[in-house]
Amino acid sequence: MGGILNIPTCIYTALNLVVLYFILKKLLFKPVSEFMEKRANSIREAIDKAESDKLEALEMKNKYDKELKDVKDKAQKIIMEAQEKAQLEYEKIIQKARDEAEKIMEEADREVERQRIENIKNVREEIVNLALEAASKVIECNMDTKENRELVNRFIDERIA
Amino acid sequence: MEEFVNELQGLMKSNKIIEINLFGFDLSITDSVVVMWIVMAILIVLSVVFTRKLKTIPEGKQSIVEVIVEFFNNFAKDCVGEHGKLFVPYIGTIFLLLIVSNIIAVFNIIPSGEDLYNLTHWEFFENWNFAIRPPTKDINVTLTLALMSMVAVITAGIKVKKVSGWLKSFLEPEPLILPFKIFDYFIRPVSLCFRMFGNILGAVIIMELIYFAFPAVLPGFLSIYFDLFDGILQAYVFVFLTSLYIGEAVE
Repeated sequence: MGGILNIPTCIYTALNLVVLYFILKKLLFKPVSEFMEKRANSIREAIDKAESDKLEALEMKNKYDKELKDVKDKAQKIIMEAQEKAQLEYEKIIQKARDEAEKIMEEADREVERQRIENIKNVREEIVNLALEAASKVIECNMDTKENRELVNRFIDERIA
Repeated sequence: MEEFVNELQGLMKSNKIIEINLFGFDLSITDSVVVMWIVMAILIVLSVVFTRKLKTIPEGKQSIVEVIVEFFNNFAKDCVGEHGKLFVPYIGTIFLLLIVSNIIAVFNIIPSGEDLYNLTHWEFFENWNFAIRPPTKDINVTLTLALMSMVAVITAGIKVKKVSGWLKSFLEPEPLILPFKIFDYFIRPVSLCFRMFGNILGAVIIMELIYFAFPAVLPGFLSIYFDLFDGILQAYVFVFLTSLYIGEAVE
């Protein structure tokens, strides 16, 4: 056994392992692990940020969609209101025009009536004059007195009526 | 034939490369230690080269080193559990050390001292007896590594559970189990040590026999199994068991 067991080799091996442990820890494991962790963190952050950005964008989209819908509704309402108002105005104008036309027609009727009455009156006057003149010619005297005029008028009224 | 037997026996002994005597203590450096230094130098140089200028988007050598470190991270997480991160440097260090140590015989390109002496007739080469063989074929190395692993296991237990918690873990789940738990701390390093030592020394001896019997072609194929596959497998087993022990200690 004495030939195989070699204490210095054991001591050197232990020292080698300890030294290698610290050197590799400092040169290899620590920097690479830290670097990879840092990268993993930065990737995680980027993904989280993208996710939150996406959510925010979606929220914004919903908001804008809602706003757009509101605006459309509003526009629709305004158009409807305007149409209603226009209809009302239209009807009002038509009504007014109709009224006016009726008034004009009435006035025209009244004018025609008045004219007619005047004409009748004129004709009657003429007839009275003519009758009285004829009667005067017949009896050769003036019969154009107030009483006779009344008489003839009454007569004509009776005939016309 | 007798010469060959001597050579095989020589494989089991450590060759003193540099003799040092300090205050009456023998501190001679053996070939296992020298090869370990070579392995360490390879690992340190590769670490420096591979971790230079880390970029966010890995490319080339950086992806290799990231895969390796990620492998150790996952390995530690799987075997040790939640505290795994703490032990990644230790697990990774012995893993890399063992893998490179176990397979370094593949790179044994140094001619034997005998050949060099025959070639040059320099006095220096007459006693030159250095070949790159796995340092893990030396029981002193595997024994030390196994003991260091047990030190790591104990340190891990105390670090995570504090001294009182660690001592209490000897009585869980049954106080009756105490002798076995204590026994564990002797059995485990011995099994770690001899498994590695036996496998690697066995592979080295078998390869030596094959070189003796069939000097060309065949050793190349068998070397893939005995030098590469067995070496990596044993390194994996050693590290896997160590991390299981650590995981049990911090549980």
